[in-house]
Amino acid sequence: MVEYKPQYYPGGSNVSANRRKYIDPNYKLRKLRTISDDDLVRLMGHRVPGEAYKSVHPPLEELGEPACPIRELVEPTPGAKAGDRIRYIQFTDSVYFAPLTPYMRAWMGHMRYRGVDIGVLSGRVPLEARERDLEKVAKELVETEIFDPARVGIRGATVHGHALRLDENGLMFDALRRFQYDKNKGEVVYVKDQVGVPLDRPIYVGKPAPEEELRKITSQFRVDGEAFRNDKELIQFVQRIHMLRTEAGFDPNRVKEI
Amino acid sequence: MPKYPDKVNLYDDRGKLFDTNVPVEALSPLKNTAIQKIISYVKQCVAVNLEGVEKALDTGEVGGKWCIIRGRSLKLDLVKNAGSVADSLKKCLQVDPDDDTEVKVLKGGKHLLVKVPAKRLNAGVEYTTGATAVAAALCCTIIENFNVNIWDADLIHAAVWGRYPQTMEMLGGNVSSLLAVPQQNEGMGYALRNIPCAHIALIAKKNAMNAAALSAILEQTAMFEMGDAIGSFERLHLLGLAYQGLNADNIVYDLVKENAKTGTLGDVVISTVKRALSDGVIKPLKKTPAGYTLYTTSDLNKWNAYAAAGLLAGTMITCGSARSMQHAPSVFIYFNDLLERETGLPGVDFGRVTGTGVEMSFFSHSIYGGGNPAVFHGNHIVTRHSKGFTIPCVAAAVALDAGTTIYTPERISGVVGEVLSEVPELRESLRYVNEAAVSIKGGV
Amino acid sequence: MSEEKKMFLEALRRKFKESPEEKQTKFYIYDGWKQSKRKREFVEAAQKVAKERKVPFYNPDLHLGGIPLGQRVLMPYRLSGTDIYCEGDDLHFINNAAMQQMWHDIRRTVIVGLDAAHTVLQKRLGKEVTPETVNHYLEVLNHALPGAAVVQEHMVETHPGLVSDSYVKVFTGDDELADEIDDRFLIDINKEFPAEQAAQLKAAIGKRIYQVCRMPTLVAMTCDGGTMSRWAAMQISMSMINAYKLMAGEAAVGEFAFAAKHAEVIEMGTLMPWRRARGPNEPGGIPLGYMADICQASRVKPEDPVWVALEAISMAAVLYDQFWFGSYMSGGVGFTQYATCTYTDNILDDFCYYGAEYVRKKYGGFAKVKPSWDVINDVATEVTLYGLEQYERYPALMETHFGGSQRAAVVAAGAGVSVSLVTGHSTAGINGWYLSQLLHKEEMGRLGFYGYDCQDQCGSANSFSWRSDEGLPFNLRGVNYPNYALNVGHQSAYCGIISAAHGGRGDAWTTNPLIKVAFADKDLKFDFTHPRLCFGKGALREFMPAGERDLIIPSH
Repeated sequence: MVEYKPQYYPGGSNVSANRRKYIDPNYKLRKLRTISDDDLVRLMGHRVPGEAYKSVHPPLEELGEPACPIRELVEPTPGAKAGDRIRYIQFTDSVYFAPLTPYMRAWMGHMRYRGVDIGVLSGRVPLEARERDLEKVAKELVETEIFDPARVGIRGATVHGHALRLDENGLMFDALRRFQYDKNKGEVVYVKDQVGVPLDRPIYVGKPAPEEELRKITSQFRVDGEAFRNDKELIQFVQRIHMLRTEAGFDPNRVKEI
Repeated sequence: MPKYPDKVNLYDDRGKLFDTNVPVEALSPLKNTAIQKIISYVKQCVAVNLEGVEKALDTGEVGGKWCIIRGRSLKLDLVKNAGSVADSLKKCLQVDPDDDTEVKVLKGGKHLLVKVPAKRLNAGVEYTTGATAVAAALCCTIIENFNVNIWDADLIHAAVWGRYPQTMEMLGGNVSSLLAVPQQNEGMGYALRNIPCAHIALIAKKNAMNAAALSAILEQTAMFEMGDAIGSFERLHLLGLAYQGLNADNIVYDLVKENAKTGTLGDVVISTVKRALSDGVIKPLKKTPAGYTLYTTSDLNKWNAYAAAGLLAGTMITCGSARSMQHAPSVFIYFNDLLERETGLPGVDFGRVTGTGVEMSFFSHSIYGGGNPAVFHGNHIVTRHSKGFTIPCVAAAVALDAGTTIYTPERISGVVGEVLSEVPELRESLRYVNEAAVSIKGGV
Repeated sequence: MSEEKKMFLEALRRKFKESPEEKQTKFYIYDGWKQSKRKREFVEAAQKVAKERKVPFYNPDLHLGGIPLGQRVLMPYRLSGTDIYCEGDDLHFINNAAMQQMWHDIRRTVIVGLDAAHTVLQKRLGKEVTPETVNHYLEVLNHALPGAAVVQEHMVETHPGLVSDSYVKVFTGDDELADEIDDRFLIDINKEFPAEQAAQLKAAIGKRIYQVCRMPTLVAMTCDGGTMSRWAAMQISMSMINAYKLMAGEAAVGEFAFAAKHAEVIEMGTLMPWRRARGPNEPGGIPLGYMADICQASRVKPEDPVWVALEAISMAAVLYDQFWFGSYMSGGVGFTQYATCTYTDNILDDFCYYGAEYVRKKYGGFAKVKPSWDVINDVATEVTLYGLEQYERYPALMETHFGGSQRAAVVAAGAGVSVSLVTGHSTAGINGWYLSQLLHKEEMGRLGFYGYDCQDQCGSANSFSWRSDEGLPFNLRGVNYPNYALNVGHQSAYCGIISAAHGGRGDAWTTNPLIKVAFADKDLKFDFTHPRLCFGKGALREFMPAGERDLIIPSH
């Protein structure tokens, strides 16, 4: 067999390299901040900190699973084992050099996390998982370099903003004003949870990264940053997939060695 | 003489070798006698909710939700007399005394599993004969056995047939077939695709391998029926059925096993590529200046089959680890997105599974929705785009769900899934299809 | 497109205070919904109604639990190709009488061949058919079609004032016959079409003669599309009996009814399957190519196929996206902003003219090369990159198309229209659209709403498929084509992709010559030669529709 090493993502630009890096599960995302477990729970708003996880069904052991070879093989996640509800965290990523794009969240999430349900829309990405599994994943998503306090929003609903210009402090628009810029501290602070319910005390999520840093770490192509037009390899890659799909639709037998 | 050179090794649902070097055409709906029997049973087997009929007559609630006809009711002990009802029903349906008619009493008389004789179906062109013959014979049986008079006969009709013929289907009736009425089919050849995954999962008693197998058999047989699995496209579907639905060469099972404890969906993608490479299905084409290796294949149909097997394994890992069905559409999109970006080769069904996943995500997760994956089938405008490669994964996902939804498969399926799980060929289709393949392998 | 020539800049300057290149702005200072004249009007109207009906009504302060719409600028829109600006609300089809009338004018039309009826008259009934008898019959039918009696006694009839927009006209490809038809009943191909187009149409239609029946708008509003051919057939058969003095119940008369109801009728749309069941002449059954032909812009500026395509796109956006997907299929408030992006602010215009200029320079004009991967890759990629770069260069443009579905539709439309122009092949054009969508997904790492790109993912494989329910020339596909049956934000531009392919070739029609001629009718309420202008008039409340009921309701 030919020697095989996973490659994760094609392309010849820095943006492609960043995409490759974030998707690769062997790359450890840089931790930039600490959000306490309780604060994360409050931000998501699914339960009160300290409250037990609610169940949607009994723990698997009590439930007694049907005789299925796949259930016997596949280890359930801790949340599935316990019968947790499936809950979500949802992000909005600004088009202005946010570290991730929506599809990047899905590609990266499915490569790195087990048992997750990720959806992608143009302006938001919900990630659903069993509640205790979700909290673990959410922690990494909020504490590391892929979360910029100004250009990424934690928003359950009314996500409008990804394509809007930034405000005078460089923050993405949020109709619910869940987050604000604290000029004194130079930090972004959440005053509402992800669906806009006011928090009993604010949660600071850190300083926005400088523009230059964002341009360096972003996985977004932009003509005023790194233009997609210049990543000829990636363009040709997409053209190839399109051509192969089209030719296969005409006659899969004729698609050989191309 | 087989048309295609492909030979596969057959395995059971637990990854145990069943036979080797079986021509893939031995798994074709055109040749495999077990598949033909399964399709025939789908037409012949009908579930009767005798308890439902009794209750409808008692309350006058017939023909759909909250239709309660004041002043009309009939107290008949149908469940208590299920044995004699079954006997009479059988006699009424039989064409010859020793034909293949069967009526089985289940759950203490609450349900009946009825197999309409093949001769009745052969004497017509429409598959609805199964349901219509049973409904008519049941009316006949009740009217005769319980001496129902002229003034009450219409109520018997409504308790059995529901609101038909004011409606197109038997709305609120108590006779159900796996197949919906032809008017509800999306297009020509869609009958076998119109079976919700809830039924499939329950028929297979939530064995995910058997659920996927039965679903793949129905979906891929539909491809033959609608004119897709023919000529240039026949092998695409045969290989898809073999590798994805029927665990040929144990690829599905191996991929699941490899990633069973800690694997992510991405890990299954990588395992799939590794397997395709080691089996020589794909090979490097060239390295780009940035160092990315593009892969190619001389057999796109086989690559598709491997990718489809990987997709099912990815579903089993993701939905299996979460014990949840809702993750399925996300798998359909991102398994393929990652696979394409890993290889430079097209994903399952050349983009059509990705497209189906996109739509199914939307419809199973949003206000435009149509419910959880258990209600989905291949006859829907959301799911029909992929020709047989998506729904088997949905069926497996539904089978693996531990109870995360309010509309459970049991609630959606009603009695039909449970009753039809009594038919061994439907319940354990993988085994029966393998056996039939072995029995004909020399003759295809 | 050079900087000064960018067609969208003027609208962007009117929409926002800041320059279109500015990356920052201010939010939360606009006084919510009160910044909008239209919303203020809504509130005033709602408060009055709520008082009268004593049931709570529209109250924008309920939005988001007290955070009203308008935390950002509620921007106005310019109807592309016009100087008309309006508010977004004015483009909701409920608020725009021109949009409603466009749909009613399509739905209330059926075309019925007259030759078979003439054969019945001559062969079975021994009647003479001459231009004079035809003119007489048409006069009778113009009396009957709106809802009047022609044969029976003691009949109830419709008030002419309510059904004044109902009439019948005829057309033929035979100049001699046309000359003998009373001008009041004739759609004159020679007068309505440029000479080259007229020649193509007359050659196709030949000596045959067709009736174009317009049922009353009120019927279109109160009944369904399936009503139309039945209504027409009944009145046609009755008028035949009257005009030719026939026996009302003899078997030969059944042939008129069969001809008018079935054999000789062309409905605008075919019926739909169970899950989205609708009768004939409903939007879901109208092929994209029919929509391209219903649009009459091609008669006005045949030398500018881009403009023609853009006009067609606007009609398809309203019919398929706003009416069909936005209301018939999804329910709810509808998909107005998914659709309006294709016909507002000159954005798609800019992308399409950029593509047209690119192919003119590189390939020497329109429809000069056959489809090939080189051409599709080159043109679709270039126009896609251009479109995406505009959004990145002009933040105001990005903010205008704030949803990914809007950008995806507009960028891909530019690419698809351009591939159509260069190849003159609509299926190649749609393949270019699909490439554009895949490039867009990769470039931005985002695309449309949750289910947006189902058809775009299936699209590459299905563009040139010839399997059972995949293969079909693009012109004949519509919103019942499986991949296209459930997503907004595509079909508007699809119609333009067809229009551009044939416009590039200099064709008089795209799919059906009879439909092209049937809508070349100045007596229609909606102006099918200038749909965008018409929608603009609707937005400004300057469009007068048919179907008003003032005659039968209390004065108000």
